[in-house]
Amino acid sequence: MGVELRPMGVKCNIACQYCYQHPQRDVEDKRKPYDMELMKEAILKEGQKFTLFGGEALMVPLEDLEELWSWGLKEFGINSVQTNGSLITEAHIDLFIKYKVQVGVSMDGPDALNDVRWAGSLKRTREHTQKSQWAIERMCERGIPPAMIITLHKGNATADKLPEMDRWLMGLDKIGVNSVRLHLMEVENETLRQAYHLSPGENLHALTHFHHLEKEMNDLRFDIFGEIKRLQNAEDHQVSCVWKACDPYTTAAVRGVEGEGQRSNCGRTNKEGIEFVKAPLPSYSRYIALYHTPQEAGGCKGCRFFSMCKGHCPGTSLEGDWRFRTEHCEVWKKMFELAEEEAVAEGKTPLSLHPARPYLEQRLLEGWSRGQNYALQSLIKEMASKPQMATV
Amino acid sequence: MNEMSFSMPAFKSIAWVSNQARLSWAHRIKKLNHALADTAVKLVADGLLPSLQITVEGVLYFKLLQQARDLEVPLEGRLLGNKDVPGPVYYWVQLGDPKSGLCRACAESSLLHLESGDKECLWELNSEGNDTETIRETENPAISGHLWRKLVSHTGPIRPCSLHCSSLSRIDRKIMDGLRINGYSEEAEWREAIYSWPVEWNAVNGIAELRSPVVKLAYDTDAAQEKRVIRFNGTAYPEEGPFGREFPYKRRRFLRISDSKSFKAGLEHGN
Repeated sequence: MGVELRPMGVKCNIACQYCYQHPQRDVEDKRKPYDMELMKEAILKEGQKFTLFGGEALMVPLEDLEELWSWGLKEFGINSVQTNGSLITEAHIDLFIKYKVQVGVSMDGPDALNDVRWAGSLKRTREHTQKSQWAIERMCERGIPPAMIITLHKGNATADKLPEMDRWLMGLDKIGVNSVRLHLMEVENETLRQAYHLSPGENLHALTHFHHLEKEMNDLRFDIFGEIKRLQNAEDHQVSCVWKACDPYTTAAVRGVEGEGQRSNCGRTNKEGIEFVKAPLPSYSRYIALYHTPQEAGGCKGCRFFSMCKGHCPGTSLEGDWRFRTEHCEVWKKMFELAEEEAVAEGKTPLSLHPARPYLEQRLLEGWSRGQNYALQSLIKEMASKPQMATV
Repeated sequence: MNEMSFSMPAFKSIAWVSNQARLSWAHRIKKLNHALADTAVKLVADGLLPSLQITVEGVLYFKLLQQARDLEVPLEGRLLGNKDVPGPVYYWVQLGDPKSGLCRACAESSLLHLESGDKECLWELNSEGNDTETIRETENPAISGHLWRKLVSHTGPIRPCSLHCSSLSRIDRKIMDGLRINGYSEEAEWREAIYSWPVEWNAVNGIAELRSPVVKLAYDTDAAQEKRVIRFNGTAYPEEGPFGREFPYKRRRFLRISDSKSFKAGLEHGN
């Protein structure tokens, strides 16, 4: 959990074709300039370290970045930023080092494989891609390898493109990048779906391909596979927000602070293009509904992976409606099945096949009905403390 | 089978479109609810209405109880929902003699609704013959009170015999006059404004969502698998209302990114 500081809102120097923030960019009014003091005040109220976020976070001028990060270092001992990398200069890297800024770069591949991250024309797009690539290499040279986020789509993850992705990823592994998050593309409309969205089969092929590739890497790891494995072990404290029953009205994992100090939610669930003010209290109604609703009606009823997946991120829900499960259900089911098979092969009983699963599901439901979102790990501890449950 | 057997525990999530909208309207709605409760009791006490149903949230019920006692107005109240489940609490209240209401059919259908345990009746009320549609549009102002009832106290039968029942507009006129007579002119204007905005109610899998130009809320409803949508087109749009991509928000003719030439060039390249 952390604070996403968005001084310039969703303003960006490029316009990735699939960006989930476009509904907002399409309709929002011109923003007022950010106010440093209001932003700092809001972050202090949140009481947590912040990640500089956007749009493109590095559109903020260097002197303001320095002010924010020197303040962040003093207050929290660490800083972080998520960027497309194309605006990074040597001066930025100096600041990253000086103020202990952990850098996350969103980039989908080398050269043409990154074309979906469109910068207005093909020439400009390729130039931006080159700049991002330079920034990644330079940060590695200077001892601060970035973490990467790669979104999978037709531009980089169909079978014919995977060999080139492999070469690029092996190269990143060699220069020191060790953490890569794979995202399945969130679709905002049918035109984009047709142009870029991978079929469930293509997504699965790409994910299993990267799962195998990981075994050939020195240090680079795709965090998604480790997370699914941990979930099958009922270890969910360190997994990402998509597995944690996110309420779209409060998005607990993302506490956004905008340029004037206004609180906001994660943009993934924003389909209206409106930056709603965070609701005061979370509700877990989506998860109660999914548990009871048949799968053919957009729910998760009867799914043995539900206690781990929970219908996944509401931003990726079927028909763009947060009350349904993720449209990537088929892909995630298969990934959980693979983790299940691997666990069984190792002589373990994964959560999906464990006799305690119905008890855990009931406890999750009870908690959600009372506004509590229990971690599986806590419930396992609770079970262990009950003598009558010791046999399951 | 469209209906499902589970019952969603009571909940209500509120998200304002902006801080400005919250600052403008949250306290107005609170004041309006108090004014409506006060006015409802006085209308019956003064004999301007023989009886009146009102649905109120939380502690307002106890204020209503006290005032009805003070003015010697007969009152019957029922908790809507399950008292053992934590969550927002609503009460249906009958003020005055139920047998002397303006429409006997409305009184009967309201009682049937209360006894059925159904959480809402919006979809059925708004059928008007178009039973096969999953999006129903309406311009009937009688639906406003039902659409807004989770935020604004609803006055009138909880389940009228029909949205075209003549008693509804008569009750509404009495309420508006009553508000003004009792010194709540501002509140009357706010109510009129709120009920004039475009609003969408939609529900699926036991969760309803009400979207208005200043606030959206999610709450528990009857669990049905089929998604149901009702759109009230409205006649005005508040100054705090933002631009948005979908109904009920005002829309831009030109979408800055999606309609731009450079973005479309990217799509073409991608294809």
